[in-house]
Amino acid sequence: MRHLHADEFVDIAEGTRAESSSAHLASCEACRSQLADVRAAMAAAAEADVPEPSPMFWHHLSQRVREAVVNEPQQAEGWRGALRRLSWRRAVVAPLASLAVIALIVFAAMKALAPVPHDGAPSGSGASAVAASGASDAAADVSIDADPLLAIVASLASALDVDAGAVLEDSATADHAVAHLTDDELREMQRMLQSALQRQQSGD
Amino acid sequence: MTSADAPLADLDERALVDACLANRAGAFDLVVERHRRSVYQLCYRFVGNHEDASDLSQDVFLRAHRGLKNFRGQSSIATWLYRIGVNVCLNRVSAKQPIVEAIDAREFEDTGAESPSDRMLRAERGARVRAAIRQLPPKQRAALVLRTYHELSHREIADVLGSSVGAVKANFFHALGSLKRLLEDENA
Repeated sequence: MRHLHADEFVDIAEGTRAESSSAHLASCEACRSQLADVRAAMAAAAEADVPEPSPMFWHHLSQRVREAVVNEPQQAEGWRGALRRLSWRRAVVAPLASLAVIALIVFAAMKALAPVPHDGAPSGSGASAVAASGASDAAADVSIDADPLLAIVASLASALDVDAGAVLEDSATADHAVAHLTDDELREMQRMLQSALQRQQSGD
Repeated sequence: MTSADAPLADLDERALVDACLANRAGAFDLVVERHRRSVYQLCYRFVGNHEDASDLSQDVFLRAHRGLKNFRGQSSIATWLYRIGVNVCLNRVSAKQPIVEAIDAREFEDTGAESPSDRMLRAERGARVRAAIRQLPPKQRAALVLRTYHELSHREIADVLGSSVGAVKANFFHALGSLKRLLEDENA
C-alpha cells in the first residue's frame, strides 16, 4: 500500500486531479485525514488578507521609487560604477595608448641625450650640440621615416583604433603618466628602450 | 504607428520594457503603478509590517529598474518582479528579526458590510495566520505566499525560486502542514 505523495495531495486539494483518480484514497483513512488537513490549511491561509494601506500610500510609493531611480546614478558612483562604465576596450586601449606615447617621448629624449653614430664614426661636437639643444628640439629633428624604431612606435600608436586623445583626456595625460611612473616602471622603460637601441645597432 | 509613438498603456510587456530602456517618460512609472500593490503585498507577507514592506517594495522596484536590460521576456514582468521580491525579502528576513505585527494593522482593513466585532475577529485571525506564515522556513513560505495569494502556477513559482515543480509542490504541502500545526499550537 502506497500513501499519496505531497504533489498528489496538492493536486487533489487544488482540484487539478480528481479524488476518484486515486483508488488508494478511498481505502486509506490516514490519507483522507491528511487531505482534509491540507484543505483546512489552504482555507485558513486564504483568509489572511494583507491590511490595505491608506489610499495615499500608492501614490507615495510611486513617488519614492521615482526619486530613488532619479538618484540612482549618483548612488551607484564609486569604483564599482566606474568599473562598470569602463568598457573592456578602454580598459585595454588606454594603458596601451599611454605606453606608446610615453615610449615615443622617452625614446626621443634618450636619442637626443645619447646619440649613437649609425655610421660608426665617433661622436663629435655636432652630436653634443644636438644633445644640448634639448629633448623637444631633438624630437622635432628626428624623422620617423629615417628611424626604424620610431617608425615601430609610431606604427603601434596609430594601430590603436581609437581616439587616443579622448582616452587620455578621460584617464590621464601623457605628461601626467610620465610624471607618475614609479621608479621600477622607469627602470623597465629604460631597459626596454636600451634593448631596442642595441638591437637596432647590431642590425646596422 | 510604431511602439515608440503608441500610448504607453497600449504597449505589451516587452514593448513597455523597451520603452523603459529607451528612457521614455512615464514608462517605468507605469510598471510601478501596475505592480506596486502585488509587490507590496508580497513584501508585507514576508515582514509583517507596513514600514518594512514599504521600504522593501521600493527596493524591489529599484533593483528591477537596474536589471531591466536583463529582462528577457521569458516570464511575465509580474513573475520577474516576484523573483526579485522573494530574494529581497528573504535577504531582509534573514538579516533582521521579524517584527511582531501590530493588531493596529486592522485599521487599514476594508470595512465593507461587516459588523465591528466580525471585522475585529477576522483581523485577528488574519494577523495570526500571517504571523504563523512568517515562522515557516523560507522556501515553504515563498511557495505558500506565491501560490495562495499571488496565484502563480507551480511552474511559475519554480521559476521564481529556481527549483523544480515537484520541489515547489512539496514545499507547498509541507508549508500547509506546518501552518496547521502552528495555528493549532496557538489555539491550544
